[in-house]
Amino acid sequence: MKLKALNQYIDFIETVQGCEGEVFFCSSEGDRLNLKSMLSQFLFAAACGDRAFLTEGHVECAVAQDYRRLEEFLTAE
Amino acid sequence: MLLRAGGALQLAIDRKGEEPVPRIISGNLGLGWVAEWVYLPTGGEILVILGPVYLKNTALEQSLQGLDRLGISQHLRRQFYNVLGDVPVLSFEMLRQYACILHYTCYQESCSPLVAAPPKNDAAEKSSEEEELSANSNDYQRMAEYEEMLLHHLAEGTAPPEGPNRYPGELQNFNMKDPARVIKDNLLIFTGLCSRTVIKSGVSVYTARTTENEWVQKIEAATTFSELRKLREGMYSAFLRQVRQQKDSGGFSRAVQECRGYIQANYTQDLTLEEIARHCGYAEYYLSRKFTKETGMKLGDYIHTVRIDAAKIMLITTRKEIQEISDSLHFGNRNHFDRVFRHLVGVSPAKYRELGGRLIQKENS
Repeated sequence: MKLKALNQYIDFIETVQGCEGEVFFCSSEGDRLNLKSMLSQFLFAAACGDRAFLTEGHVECAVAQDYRRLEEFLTAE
Repeated sequence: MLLRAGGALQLAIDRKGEEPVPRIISGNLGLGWVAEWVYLPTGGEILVILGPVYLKNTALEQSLQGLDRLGISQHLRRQFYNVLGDVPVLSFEMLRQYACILHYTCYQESCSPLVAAPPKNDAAEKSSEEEELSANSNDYQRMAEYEEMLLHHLAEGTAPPEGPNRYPGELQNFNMKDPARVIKDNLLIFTGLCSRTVIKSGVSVYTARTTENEWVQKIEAATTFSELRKLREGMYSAFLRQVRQQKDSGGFSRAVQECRGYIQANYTQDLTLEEIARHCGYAEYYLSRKFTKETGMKLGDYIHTVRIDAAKIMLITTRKEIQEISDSLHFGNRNHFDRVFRHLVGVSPAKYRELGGRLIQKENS
């Protein structure tokens, strides 16, 4: 699933923390960031300023139900 | 964002209304801030925050090593440098001085900053050295009592009641050059005490010592105060789990407990009955018979169970090839690993990874 433009980074990360399984952000360049890892969160935040980084990447959840939890931040592909 | 991530900002906000003392907050990645509530004479208050800074060169290096381990692209690496590249690197002592300057600027009085957000401390308002020493001594006594209480619960295998989130060394005189070292030393001593306590509660010496060594290494590698606090909790929980497991397996003899402990700690090694028996100090035939009699499971099957449990974790939490996992757990060949995994879990390792583990557990339940 693709991410919407993120205005509320912290809300998104806090929602990710509440997810049951791992949540990954996969960039168009092949980077795969585990958003539950603190270092990856910083990396993700650092790159969020680049709109193309968000719109070209996609989010993967290890547990299917987590997509529902994140739906307010996701957009249908 | 850096301040909010990891709860550092919340830590500062939670201290609103307490006595005006600057606090040094350490966050993830070795970042630090100074925060102080300034109470205005006209009413109202302002939270002043200085930072972020890297507390040590090593923290910065570790962040960069973390990037190497993640194997990220150059594009992402550049973005990261753009954000954190300008963060200054300061020693803890220097940050402490900034905290004193901040307090003096706001209140025209000198003070001693606190680290992170320790419990309310009456000593902060006292000025003479004698009074501070006395207050520190009281703190030490209170923490010694708290530590005794934790060890008592550990010996019983019961969860301690919710209490102040502190441990020996957290409230100490921050004029010393390396407070992190003092906290680490105290935590290491506490780890040793926990280890001895669980041995007295019946956990095998080998298991307790292995756990102790494992946590000692983690504590030594820690770089932030928040990390140390988490390690203290993790270490205590690990020992508590061992006591509970030991109590659950109350029917097992010492020999079988030693044997199980040795297997759990060495399942990544090439285990043989001869080696296990030698370690436990029993004859191979005797140990093998005793193990089967008490657990209802052959020793070889138990080793498989422990290894498959580890494989399940690796399949879900890492991206290692299945062949690599099989090799690291000494299954000889992939077919054998697949067969044992399927027998114990019900699906192949690849299917287990594909379903993320949880779905299988739900189906089973």
